[in-house]
Amino acid sequence: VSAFASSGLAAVATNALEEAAFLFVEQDDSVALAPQGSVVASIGFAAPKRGLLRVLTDVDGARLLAANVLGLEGDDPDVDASSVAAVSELANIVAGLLLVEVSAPGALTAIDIPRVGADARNARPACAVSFRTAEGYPFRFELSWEDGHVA
Amino acid sequence: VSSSFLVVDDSPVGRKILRRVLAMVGVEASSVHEAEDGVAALELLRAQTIDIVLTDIHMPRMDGIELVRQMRADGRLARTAVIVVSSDRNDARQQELKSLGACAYVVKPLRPEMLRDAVLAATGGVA
Repeated sequence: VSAFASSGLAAVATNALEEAAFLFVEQDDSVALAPQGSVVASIGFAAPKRGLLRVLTDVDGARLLAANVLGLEGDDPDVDASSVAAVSELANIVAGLLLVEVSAPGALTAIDIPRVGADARNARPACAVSFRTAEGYPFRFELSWEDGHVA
Repeated sequence: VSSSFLVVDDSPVGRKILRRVLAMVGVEASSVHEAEDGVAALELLRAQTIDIVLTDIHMPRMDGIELVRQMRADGRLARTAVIVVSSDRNDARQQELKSLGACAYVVKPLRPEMLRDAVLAATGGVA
C-alpha cells in the first residue's frame, strides 16, 4: 500500500475519466482546486487498511462530466440536475479501480457509499493528482490513509 | 419479446446510465422501473412483474447482497434474474453474489457490450 503513489492514482483516474465519461485529460499540476468553491465527492474504502478518496472539480467540470456520462447536450436541464451526482459516481468508479491496485489478491476489501462534499479526514492527502480536460476543465484526485501515512 | 427491468442504485446518475446503456445496446424493454435501495426494490418487486433486476451492491438501508438473499427466500421472486452492476471488483463479493443466484456481475465503468451480453444470457437471448 505504501508504494502506491501519485503515478498509480493518475493511471486509475485517467482510465476512469476515459472509460466512464469519454473525457481525455492531461496531468496539470498547476490546477488549483480547494474544497471550498469546488464540487467535491468523497468515498471511504478498506483495502483492508482504511483510506479515503476525494474527487474535486469546478461547476463546469461537473456539468461536462454529467453531460458525457449521460450522453446529453450541455444545455439539457438534466445536466445541471445531475452534475454533483456525476462527480459522486466518478468517485465510486475510481475507488473500485483503486482497490484492485492497492490491495493484495484475495484481500478483504470494502467500498463505502460516496458522499458529496469534503471530508475532514482527507485534510492531508498521501498523494494527489490534477488534470485538465481537453476542454480546459480541472479535475483533482486526492488519496489519504486513515493513519495519516504519506507515500 | 421484451422484458421488464428494475434498476436498483442509490445514485440517480447510476440509474440513468443503466437506462441509457440498455437503450444503446438495443435491449427491448417493455418497462424500466427504478429503486434507490434494496428496501424500495423489494417493495416494487412485490407489486410489479419484473423480469430482470439490475442492482448495485453498496446502498443505504439494504445493500445488493441482502436484496438478492431476500429475493431468493421469497418464493415469487426466487427465479427473477439478477444482474449485479457495481464498481466493486472484489472476487469474494462476486463469488458470494453468484452463489446467491445472481446470474451475472458487471463491473463499472460499464461497457455496453458486457451489459448486453449479461442481459441476453439472463433472458436466453430474447431481450
